[in-house]
Amino acid sequence: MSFKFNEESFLDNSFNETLREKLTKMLNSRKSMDIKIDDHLSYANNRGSTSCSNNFDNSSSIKARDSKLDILKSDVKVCEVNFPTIPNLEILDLDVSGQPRALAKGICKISCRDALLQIQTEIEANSLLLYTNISPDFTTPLMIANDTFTIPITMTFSQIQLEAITNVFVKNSGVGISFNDVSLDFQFDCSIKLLQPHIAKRLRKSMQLVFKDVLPSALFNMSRSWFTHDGSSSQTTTDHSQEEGSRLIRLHRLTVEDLDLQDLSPVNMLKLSTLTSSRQTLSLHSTMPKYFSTIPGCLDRQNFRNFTSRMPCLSNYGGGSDDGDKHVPHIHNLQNKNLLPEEALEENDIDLKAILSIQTKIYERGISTNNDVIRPRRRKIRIKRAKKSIVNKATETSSNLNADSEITPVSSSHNATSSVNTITSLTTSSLGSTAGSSNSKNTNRSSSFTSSIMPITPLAQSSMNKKDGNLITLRQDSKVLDSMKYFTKIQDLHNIHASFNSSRETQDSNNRFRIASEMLPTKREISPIPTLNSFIEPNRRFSFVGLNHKTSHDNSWSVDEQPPPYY
Amino acid sequence: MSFDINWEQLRNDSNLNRTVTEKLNGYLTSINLPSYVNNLRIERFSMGDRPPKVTLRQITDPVQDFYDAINEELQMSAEEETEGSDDEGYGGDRVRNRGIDTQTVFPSANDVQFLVEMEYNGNMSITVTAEMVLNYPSKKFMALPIRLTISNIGFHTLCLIAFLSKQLFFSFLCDVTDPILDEDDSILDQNGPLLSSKGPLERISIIRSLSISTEVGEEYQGDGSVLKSVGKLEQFLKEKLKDFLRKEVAWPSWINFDFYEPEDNESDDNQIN
Repeated sequence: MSFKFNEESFLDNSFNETLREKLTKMLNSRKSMDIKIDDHLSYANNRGSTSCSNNFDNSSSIKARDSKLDILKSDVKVCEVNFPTIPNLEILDLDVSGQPRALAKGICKISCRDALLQIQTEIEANSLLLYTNISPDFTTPLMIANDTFTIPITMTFSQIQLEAITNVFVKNSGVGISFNDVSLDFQFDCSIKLLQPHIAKRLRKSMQLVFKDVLPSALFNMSRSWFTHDGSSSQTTTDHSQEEGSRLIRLHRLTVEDLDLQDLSPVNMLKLSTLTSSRQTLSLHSTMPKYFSTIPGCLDRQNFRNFTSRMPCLSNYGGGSDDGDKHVPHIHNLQNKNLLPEEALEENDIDLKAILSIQTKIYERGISTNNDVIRPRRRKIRIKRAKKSIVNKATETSSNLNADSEITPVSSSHNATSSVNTITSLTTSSLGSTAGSSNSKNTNRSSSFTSSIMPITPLAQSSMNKKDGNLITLRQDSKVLDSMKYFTKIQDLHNIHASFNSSRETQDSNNRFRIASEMLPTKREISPIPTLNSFIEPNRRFSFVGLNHKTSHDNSWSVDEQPPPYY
Repeated sequence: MSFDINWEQLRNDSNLNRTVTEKLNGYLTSINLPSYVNNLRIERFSMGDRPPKVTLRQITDPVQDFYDAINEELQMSAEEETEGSDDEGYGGDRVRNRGIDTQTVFPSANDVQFLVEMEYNGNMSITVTAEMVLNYPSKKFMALPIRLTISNIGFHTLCLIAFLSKQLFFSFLCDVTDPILDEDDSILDQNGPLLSSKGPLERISIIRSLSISTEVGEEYQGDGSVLKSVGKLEQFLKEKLKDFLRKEVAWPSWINFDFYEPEDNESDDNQIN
């Protein structure tokens, strides 16, 4: 026996008692089933705040019940339940997946012996009366023998032997059980000997249904209460969370007003339309391994792997003392591992800052794809004299965050980051359908475009701890600031043009792509010069245009010029 | 290897394994377990006979991130105290000024940070037993005993240990290539090296090799069967453990031990241990 049963509950008869009560309740529930269903209906209706005529429902169901032939005159009473030997439950196989749909599934063998069950009820022996009661008034002849004749009946099932192989599925919502290979045997004894063979025959026939349908559904319903502790409250909480979710969605749904439409930059719209139309061709230019895409600044899906393989990671980290210009990021190992070469340690060639920034970057990129952890967990454990008290909070966040809740970012970029994240994820999903239309707001569109093409770090995700010092160093770089104007707010067209040009100028000539250059571990990246997005002011809207670059191509994309021909 | 660990002495100390087991069990009985777990205890603990290698790689000033974190925290607490009419956001210079007004930690000469390489590939093993309990219809009605034997723990990482303003920061920085461990990984990987690169790049895995052997169920009076080596369960536990560590102690997350004692305690001597 793999499962251990608490023997005490069998010895002190408490298990038998609870089972007897439950069975009594269950067996009588059939009679009151209709009423119960009505209750549920009306309950649901009330919750849905639609007033439905409960009276009507009740009356109709009563009629339906009356029209059934019912020979039971009183409730079914379970007199005795006894398990003299403890049932045996063995686990034969186990599979754990950890997914909410199916947390675990297992195969179990159940066997029990010598069990005893005795039920008692009263039946109506005058079956003519039963028919008379349900037949319509106009039927003839009228019965004279319309007295009731109630007979008590006791049925005893003894020596119950059950052996079954069951499949058990544990889900978030409850436990599902299916019975296979059931072998059941029992001695049946009825107080009315005349009926015994007939009842026994019918019982054996209906046993299949019991194990196939009745028991699994009963167990599932029962288990739902274990998983949700108290069913009603959990119901409301899930409802609540759903409401919350829909409210959030409503909150972040884009509304395009006339004012917004004025803000849409024609340049961006042009670029976006080029992008979409290029997807409609069968051009194979972009499959050339050397280039990421035919459209500058964008990444084609088939080159994604090529692109990600050049992301900074410790395997292609060349150490701190390397010359930045010579440092060419090579395609790192295929095993998708982020390991610091041991040789670097041996040569004591460790650039701590570079390692830190790479690890932070990878972490942030993980956020953008998984969307689960937003802020790194930084637990604080206060150590006092002898005893430890673990303050279960993620660093300086307010104390109302409990340990299990997702940590919210507290750094100054909080607002911008989270809102951009949600907008991005929302618009990305809707992108496929609305790609061609120009109805959504331009800023969000373009940012979602870039993110749908390459799941890089959310662009507003500033490296959390870069602060004042960086700001100062940046102020010196007026050109970058110029382009910052573009990112921080949407100004008139003139400004956009200016920023486009200026951002173009700031590009290194060997950096083919703006985004790529941010990702690559060039010297620029490793050195403490912050990336653009680390000082975007938090509450401003901003957008990222993935196409802000054009150097060595013939079809230069300045505003004054014609857009490139569609490929 | 910078630190010489006298492992032989530890290993020969027969009492040690027992005391460690007792200490851990004492701790496990003191914590509150969820209602479906019962009887969690360490059954066996063995130190193994191979010592971990600890190498000190760098001693430097602590990185700015730690100061930022402390300052941010101070700021938050200060804001909470002076919380009044003003409740708008964190941006802007105003808050920063206020932070300076209240309290700010600056780098001091006593602050220090160690970059330590830790390597372990020994044969330490722990056996844990627990019972999954079904509290229905009566309390502890049915129990499923589970025994886990954890062994073959291997890691090779760089960690950052910083001490500043009476706080100790600890974080796993990155994994280091290791011929033995890397080979282990490829064997354990079911999909093979080519297919495994589907997911996003893993920042760090800290525990690179780990074997868990499971036993589910228990024989009762020589009756019934015990389910051994449940592969899916082992994989599941491994992933959970890795995820947990990565989430909690891998850079940019860290653990912060605060040794600071507020002065309102009876003792006003600042102890640092």
